[in-house]
Amino acid sequence: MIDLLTHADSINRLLARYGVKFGIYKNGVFKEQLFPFDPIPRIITPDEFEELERGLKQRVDALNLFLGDLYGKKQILKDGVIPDAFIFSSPGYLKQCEGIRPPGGIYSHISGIDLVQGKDKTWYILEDNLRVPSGASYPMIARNLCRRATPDVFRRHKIRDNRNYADLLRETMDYANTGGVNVILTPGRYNAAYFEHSYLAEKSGAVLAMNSDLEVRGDFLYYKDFHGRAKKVGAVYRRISDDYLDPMTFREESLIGVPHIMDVYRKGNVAILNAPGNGIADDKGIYYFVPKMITYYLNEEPILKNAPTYLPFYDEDLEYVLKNFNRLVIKDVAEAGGYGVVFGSALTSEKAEQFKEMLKRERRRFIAQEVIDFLDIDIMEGDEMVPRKADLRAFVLSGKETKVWASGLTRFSRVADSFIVNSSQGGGFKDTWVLSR
Amino acid sequence: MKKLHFYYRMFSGFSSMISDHSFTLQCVPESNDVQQIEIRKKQIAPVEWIARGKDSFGYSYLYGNTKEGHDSFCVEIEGTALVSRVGGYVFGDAEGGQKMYCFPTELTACSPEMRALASRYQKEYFDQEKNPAAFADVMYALMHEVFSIMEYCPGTTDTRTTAAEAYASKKGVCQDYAHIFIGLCRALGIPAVYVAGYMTGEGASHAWVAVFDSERGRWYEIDPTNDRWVDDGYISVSHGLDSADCIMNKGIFRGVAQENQEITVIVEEIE
Repeated sequence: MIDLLTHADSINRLLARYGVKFGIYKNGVFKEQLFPFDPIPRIITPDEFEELERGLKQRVDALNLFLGDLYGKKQILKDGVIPDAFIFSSPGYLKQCEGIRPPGGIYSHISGIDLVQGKDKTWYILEDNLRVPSGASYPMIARNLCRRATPDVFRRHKIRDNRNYADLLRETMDYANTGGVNVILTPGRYNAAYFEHSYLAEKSGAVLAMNSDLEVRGDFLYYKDFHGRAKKVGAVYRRISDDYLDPMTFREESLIGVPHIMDVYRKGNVAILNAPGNGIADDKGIYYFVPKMITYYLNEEPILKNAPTYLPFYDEDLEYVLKNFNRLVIKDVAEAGGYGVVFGSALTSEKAEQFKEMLKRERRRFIAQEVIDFLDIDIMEGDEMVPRKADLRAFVLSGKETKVWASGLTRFSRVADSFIVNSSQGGGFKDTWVLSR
Repeated sequence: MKKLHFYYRMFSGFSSMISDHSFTLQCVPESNDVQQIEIRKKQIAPVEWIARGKDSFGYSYLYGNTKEGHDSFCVEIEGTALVSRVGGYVFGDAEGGQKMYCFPTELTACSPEMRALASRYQKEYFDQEKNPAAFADVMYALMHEVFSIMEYCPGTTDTRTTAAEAYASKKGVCQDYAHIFIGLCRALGIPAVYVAGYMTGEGASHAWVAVFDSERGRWYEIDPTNDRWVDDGYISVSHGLDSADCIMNKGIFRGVAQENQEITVIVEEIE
């Protein structure tokens, strides 16, 4: 392990040289910054991972069933498990996706489920990311470099290899594929996760394409190769959001989308990963209902817990939230990436009163959660080991089977006591070691 | 029952050449429970390729692309319709399928003034313990209210104008009347659908509203622009949550050009 620590600088240097960067927009200016790597791995024991694996599969399976039901028969609404208002007034619900049954019946092919571990070692689900979760490439490449820098460490410890992510991704794309090539659609190099798009394309054997390389003709989507020859496309792992995917169906002003891609998708002639319309299932307001979905669709008890969550939409929850405002964290359901998160205790009493008024007015807009006492994990700060808050993004891939990648992205806050670990907010990352028996 | 002859023509002239023109057309009426449609002529030019799709509400549309440069685009549809919509109709999923039509969208959301009007109706008509008013009477009264407040004024609003904006200016066209009426109905908890189509006479395409009578389990169509219930002189083309789901012709292209669009619709009773 000491070996690893001494190599931290050279690994970070190599990451920089490979262009492992994260782009952020701040005040309208695009800046690429390095995603700082910390050499101390997060370690997950075989027993722990087994439980996580079962719990994550269960959760993602239920979410996929929910999406199929919601854009189809809507039985869960008819049975009153989720109030209609949480669906039809959510920006995540896309009426344009009504009635679409994607190839293989899978909506969330690549799910990024964020968890934290409490001081009592219990894992809690923080959020489900079912649109285009990013981040898998960082631990992939970091592991690669670490193995090169300190091969001994990996010989001595029984660590499950995580270099199979690209194979899992390829399996998932192949399963959804309707006949044709696999494509990763990127908006281009000014996207926050462009490094990842190109890396995953290279490793999974998919074609990296920009929208100008793709064209709909009649009932199918085609990729125009270097020689101008058109090849049919069977699956598009698109790294652009629903809004921008097809200017003929969604935002007309989109210049990064593919006109008519939704028309051929609706016919079942191409797979889109992840399915458009998934935003409704990873809406922070819907999060509250996921344990209920697990019981409803699978008739099982949820294996992994949600962080205790309150919906001001319900009268008794609102009352609880107003009373316990100071020890709760309030999240705006429409925001992501660590934006729109407010700790009740951090507000001045005047601001808190204003916020409470807003909660009473816009009851569908916020959720409130108990602040989980995270288990701190150590990071290196200079030559010193210091405890920091960290979360784990687990990647679950759904194809013929649902599989959990035996690794994940551990993000940590570089600021002491800060709970916000998002890379867009300047956090760093670690490798995640899942030990084998 | 009525037998109608209809003709739709959309002509777009561009001030300079455009290319790579993607279009989606939803202007061809289809047969359903209330109308039997026979298409006699369908001409779209210029096109390189064209295909047919089905939208999330079950209506067909045409989509295609023209790569080559052109400075005009023309669509002509002609046919006959046998219409009989007496007594309302059932569509979609009877139990609960209409729920999605109960929530406001950006284009149909009520302003505080509209909400005040809706709550007045709530009190006057629905909250009466003794003889609550009949559904049809309330709908008719509410429609008449909208009709009386608004002034039909082409050119004052556009396709992005919201119900709240049109209501504040008291001016608009059929799309605005429909959005306002839909917003009010949904505020009252009544499922309301935007319907696009053609009505007897000569002019442009038209829009009206279908409302759901939960007691009868049937939809009825009402035309707030003309202050009347919809009869067999109307041909529907598509429906949705608001006008954004029912755009008859949509296009994007390369080129710097002004688009000048002329739409002609003629519907007349025959036999």
